[in-house]
Amino acid sequence: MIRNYIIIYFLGAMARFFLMNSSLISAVKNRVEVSTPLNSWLRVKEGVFLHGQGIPVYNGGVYHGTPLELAISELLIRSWSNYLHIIFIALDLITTTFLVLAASTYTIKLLTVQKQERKLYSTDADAILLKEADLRRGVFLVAAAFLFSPYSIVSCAALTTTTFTNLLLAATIYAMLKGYAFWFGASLALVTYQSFYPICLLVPGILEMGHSKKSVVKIFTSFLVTVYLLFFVSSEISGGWQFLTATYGFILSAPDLTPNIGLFWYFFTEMFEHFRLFFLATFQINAFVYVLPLATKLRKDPMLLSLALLALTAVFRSYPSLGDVGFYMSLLPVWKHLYLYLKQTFLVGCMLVSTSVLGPIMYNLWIFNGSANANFYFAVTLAFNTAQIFLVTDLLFAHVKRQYHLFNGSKLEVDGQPATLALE
Amino acid sequence: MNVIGIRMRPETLFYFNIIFVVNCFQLIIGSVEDYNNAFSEELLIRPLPSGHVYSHFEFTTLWTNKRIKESILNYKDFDFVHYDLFPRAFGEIVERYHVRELHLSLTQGLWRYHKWGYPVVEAPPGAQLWTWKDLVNALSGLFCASLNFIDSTNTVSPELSFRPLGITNPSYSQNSSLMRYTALPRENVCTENLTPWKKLLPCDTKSGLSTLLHPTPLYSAYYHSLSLHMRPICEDKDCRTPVLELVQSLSLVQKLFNEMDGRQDWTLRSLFSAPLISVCPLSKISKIYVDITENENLEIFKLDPLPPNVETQGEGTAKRSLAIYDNLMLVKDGPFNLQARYPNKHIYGIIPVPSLQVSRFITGHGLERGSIRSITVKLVNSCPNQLTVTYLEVLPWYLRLFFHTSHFLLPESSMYVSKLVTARDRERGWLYEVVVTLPPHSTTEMQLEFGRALLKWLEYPPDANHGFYIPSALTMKKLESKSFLGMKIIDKLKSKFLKKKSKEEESKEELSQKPSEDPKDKDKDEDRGGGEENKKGITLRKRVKEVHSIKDLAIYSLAV
Repeated sequence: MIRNYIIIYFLGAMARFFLMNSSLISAVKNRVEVSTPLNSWLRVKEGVFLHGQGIPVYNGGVYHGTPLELAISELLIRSWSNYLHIIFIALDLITTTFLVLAASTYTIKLLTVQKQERKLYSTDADAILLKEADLRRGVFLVAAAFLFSPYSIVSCAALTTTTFTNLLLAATIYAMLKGYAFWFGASLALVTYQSFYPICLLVPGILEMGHSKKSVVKIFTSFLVTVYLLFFVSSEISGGWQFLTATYGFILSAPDLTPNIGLFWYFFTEMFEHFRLFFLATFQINAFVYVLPLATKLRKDPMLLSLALLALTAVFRSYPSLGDVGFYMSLLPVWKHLYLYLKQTFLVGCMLVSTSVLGPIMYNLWIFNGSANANFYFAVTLAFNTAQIFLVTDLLFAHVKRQYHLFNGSKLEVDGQPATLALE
Repeated sequence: MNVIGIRMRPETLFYFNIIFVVNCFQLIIGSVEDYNNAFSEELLIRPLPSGHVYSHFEFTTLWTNKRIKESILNYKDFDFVHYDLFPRAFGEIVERYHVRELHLSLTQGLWRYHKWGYPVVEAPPGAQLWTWKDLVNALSGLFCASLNFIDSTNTVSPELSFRPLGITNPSYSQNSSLMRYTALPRENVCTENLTPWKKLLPCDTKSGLSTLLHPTPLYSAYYHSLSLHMRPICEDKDCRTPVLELVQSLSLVQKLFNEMDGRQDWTLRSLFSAPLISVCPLSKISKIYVDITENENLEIFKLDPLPPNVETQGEGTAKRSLAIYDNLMLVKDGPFNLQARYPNKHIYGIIPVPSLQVSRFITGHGLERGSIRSITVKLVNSCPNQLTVTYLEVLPWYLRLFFHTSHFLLPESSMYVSKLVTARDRERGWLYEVVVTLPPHSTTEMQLEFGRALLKWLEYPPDANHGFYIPSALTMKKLESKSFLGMKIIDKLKSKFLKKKSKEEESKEELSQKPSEDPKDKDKDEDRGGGEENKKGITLRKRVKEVHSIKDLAIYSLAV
């Protein structure tokens, strides 16, 4: 098994390395699907350049990353520029390791839960019980999915700062599942500081560790202290608090309407100005409004809740990129046992493949050939996001169905009549 | 107090030899008495080697009294009373908005430096302005121009470019925060701007040279520029009599060719649809100058009537000869229709290029950011001296510049950024000002990469099929202290001359500029850019210091 891991790590690293050094990279790295105003390496370089020239970076409209990211990138560009590729690949490999660790922790937890609840299950539930070998295979597939997902490969090869965010996210999830309250709080603070939306992971974290009050206090303390320290360091680095409007203000008000795979740019290009604030609030609330209902339903499975929240924020955030999509999708094999219950895999699969192919084509037709327009590209991204929503709802419904079958048996009968489960 | 320069449209602020001469005369003749109000009207006609005819009208109002003197010397706001020749509508705006100096130009068309040489006054295509919101709105009303589109997103305060043209002290002239510059490259100029502009003249269009300004020939010209310049100047060497000067000028480039006979003949009537019938009775000077450089013997073209007076200035390439007509004498005998007759057909030849040429164009394709699109600027120094120029780029926020990838392809020259203001979406535009040293006989290329922001539907300009216009870039040059031309005339004269002179000098040996276009850029939304250049006469400053020990005179000139 270890050998298998080594092989896929090696292959994954090679895939990234070859893409980075091939001529294809110039076609890929500045694609709007991969590099957004928030994570584009080009903008990071510009930010570092301006910072080096003593020009206030956050005063202008080019760089929107956090000051700590700026400082780290400055170090990378100044002192390690020859090893940049290797560093980004290494970061992705570390992310994979965290994901694997998180996934195996989660499977152990699933097996423990199954053992505890075995007595409550229906008598004919044996066929759908989890088997250790299966789960272990799922863990391996998580690693494979992250290492070979074209979305994450492209995102890493384009040197987007999503690579940093993904590493922090994976560490946060790992800390959550392991129950390391202190580390969870700290890493959550870091990843929130870096890209804001992951703050909703606070809810699954509290659900996971909520059984002891002490842990909850620890989470909050370490979260707040870390945020405080980060802000303090940031204001020192950037010489003021202007970075707040340039980073979080930018994320929240989405002034840069460069096309991306998200939903914001098109709507806000077309919108009447007096509706702007209202719809801005509506769109942003969309990323968070599902936290409460999902947390109520999935309170016993915070990991699945995390996945749902990651997916929803990947769709509804103001500047999503393929790196975010690749990250949460690579976690899906953990729920291999739910695949049986998925109803729309074919549809979602076709949608993802066709939109991934059509997206760049429509973009080229619009921007370079001038024979299409923004609607063409937006239609594709809309379908892409719809596919992601289908995927998440399908998975959540599969989870619900499996729970039903576990406790009520595989036969579905209502008052003696055959019945079906439906999502309404 | 603030210095406000307003410029519109691409041509305007350069005074060259010819004008210099013009002014000298004007001053000599008109300025001796103890006046506090003087008006002069002048017209310069210069046939260009490209077959075009360049006409430049200049209407100058000088005004001084005790209050103005005090305001100028003590840097106080102007406080005007008892208007006479100075236009009250304009004076009230100056008073109200604490303006010390103002330059405004409205231009249609592009000055072709490589074909036409340097204009007397230069301006970039479109409208240009330096100012505050309220002032802009007031001027908008005064000139019926869309100056109200000027706001924080296109107003800048460059560090080195645009020094005051009038008298100032060093601390004042070095404080660039007192100056605002802006340009509206898309502003159209037409009769609705000409009429209010003419109304500022003491004689309106009722008599004098302004009766020649009929809209039809003006707006069918290849190049047309209206401008207005106000600045404080000194009337004497010790600057005991500071004067407020208001220059209203209008430049035209026309091609009258009749293809059938192929001669460059022109007459006042063919140029302006009317002969001169009167002189503005309020003017001290009313003259017409015809540039007869290299035609002193009137062999290339003949003037009818023969010029009563011919003046020659300068030497070598800077030599200029002018035929001078005093309108007052001429209109006595009825309508005066000055005529130039060419015995031979016009021959198109090689036109000597200006010593500094700048061209700017856009490379790349598509509307996206990335390495594919960049603004490329080519600075060609064809003179034997090394030149140090200031290059100023003022760009709208929706171009996203990337400086870490921009570069200069320099042979053996150096550059540093004197001021960089980064844009913020919908709030502030770009200001990029660099000082570049150009080796003799060299071509320097600069590339600025940019991306384009996707705009909201309301942010697109009307007539989106035009694409976007971006303001002209400006190149300025410090004047080296060289031998002054025409010293004898200048001797008696005032600082004003000195200024003009500086320009002359420039024209003579230093630079030039040229507008550039980017004909390459066919695709949609990108802009048209005009390169411009500009020079700055800082040397003068030194010299002037000797003359007026207290006041520092800074000079600048600007070209498109």
